[in-house]
Amino acid sequence: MTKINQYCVAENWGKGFIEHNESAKISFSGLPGNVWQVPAHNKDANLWISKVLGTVKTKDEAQVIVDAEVTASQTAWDALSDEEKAISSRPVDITLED
Amino acid sequence: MSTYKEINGQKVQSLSSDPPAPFTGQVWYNSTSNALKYNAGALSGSWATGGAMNFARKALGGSGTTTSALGYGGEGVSPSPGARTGATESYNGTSWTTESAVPSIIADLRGAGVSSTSALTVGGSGPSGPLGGFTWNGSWTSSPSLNTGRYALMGSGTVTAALAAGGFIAPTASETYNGSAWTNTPSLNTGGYRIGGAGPNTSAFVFGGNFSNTTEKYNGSAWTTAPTLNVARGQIAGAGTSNTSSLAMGGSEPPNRDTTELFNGTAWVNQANMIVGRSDAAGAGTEPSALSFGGTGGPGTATEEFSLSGGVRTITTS
Repeated sequence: MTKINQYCVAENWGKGFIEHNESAKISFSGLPGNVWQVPAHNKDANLWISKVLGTVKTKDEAQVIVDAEVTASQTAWDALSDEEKAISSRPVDITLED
Repeated sequence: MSTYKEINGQKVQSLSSDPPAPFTGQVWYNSTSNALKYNAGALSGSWATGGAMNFARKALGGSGTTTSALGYGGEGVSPSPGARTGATESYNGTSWTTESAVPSIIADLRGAGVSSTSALTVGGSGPSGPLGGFTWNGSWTSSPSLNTGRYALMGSGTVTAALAAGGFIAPTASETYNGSAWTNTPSLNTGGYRIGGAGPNTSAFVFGGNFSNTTEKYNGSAWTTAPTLNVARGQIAGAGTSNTSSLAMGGSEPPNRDTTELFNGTAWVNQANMIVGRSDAAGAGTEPSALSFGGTGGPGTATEEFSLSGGVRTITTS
């Protein structure tokens, strides 16, 4: 099966990390743990990964990072009071796709 | 010098109102607003990362514009989860600068204000429940409390003409502020908490909340039900200038959503997704040029900038 997505880890430094002209060309999805999902086999996406000095991860490697962050967030949410839970959402699991 | 007619083959029309369906490139003069306008084509939005906040947080207040915004209060997320704060930061379009903190730690609030030097906290909760208000003009001073103390609400407007709507645990409560006192207005029809919204207190919008897709418009005297969002969600950040033009950014269904929807006067239209799906972020700015900052779902310091191209534009010469 041909991969649609690729993953990398890169720290979002803010202004200039993703520019309007890049998001107009590439579909970005930011995930917990500084994991970024961008299109596979895409020249613009590869250029962006190079620009941000991203560390490319396989889907499984990225999934481990995301799972750890989500689990930590769920644990923090479970510790909230009932009143606090009423106005916030319990983080849900995220399943990455090829 | 060539005239417009010599270049385009026809004169610029003078119309008392904007044409209902201008073609791309059409130019006209609106004699009511004394403005030269054109249709720049289909509306198309994009997101870019902005400067990172210094304090990672969610459920904060925010107001201003994309080049002059203020973020205040909230609840810390990683690396300081759960810590409520009064931390205040100003944004100049590039980076965030730490300012003096709100006198009380305050979370689940909203904000009103037009710039990084003029803001008002709207609602919110402190260590002992709902809190009174604070006004910012370079430093914080106390201001009157809402008549019905609440949090996780919608807030918008300016420091002398603000709106507070919905919230926990008075989901249909609505109040306006004139710079000196909050006054009760007619109630929302459905309302909710964890609700988003935007607009001045004479022409505002609330949307979502309680994982719903309901929206309501306010015209300064009454709330009316408006077209539903395409994606039901709560904890939405809002931006906008009126109840005919508004932007709903992110939110939670759950999961956290990257959904962006623009109200075009008739219906909610999906726009480019946010870079990071997030909820409980603050919103600022207008529908063509908006900010979303903080929140959960990504780094709590993250700022994203929305830019809308196309649509009806006004030609200016200065």
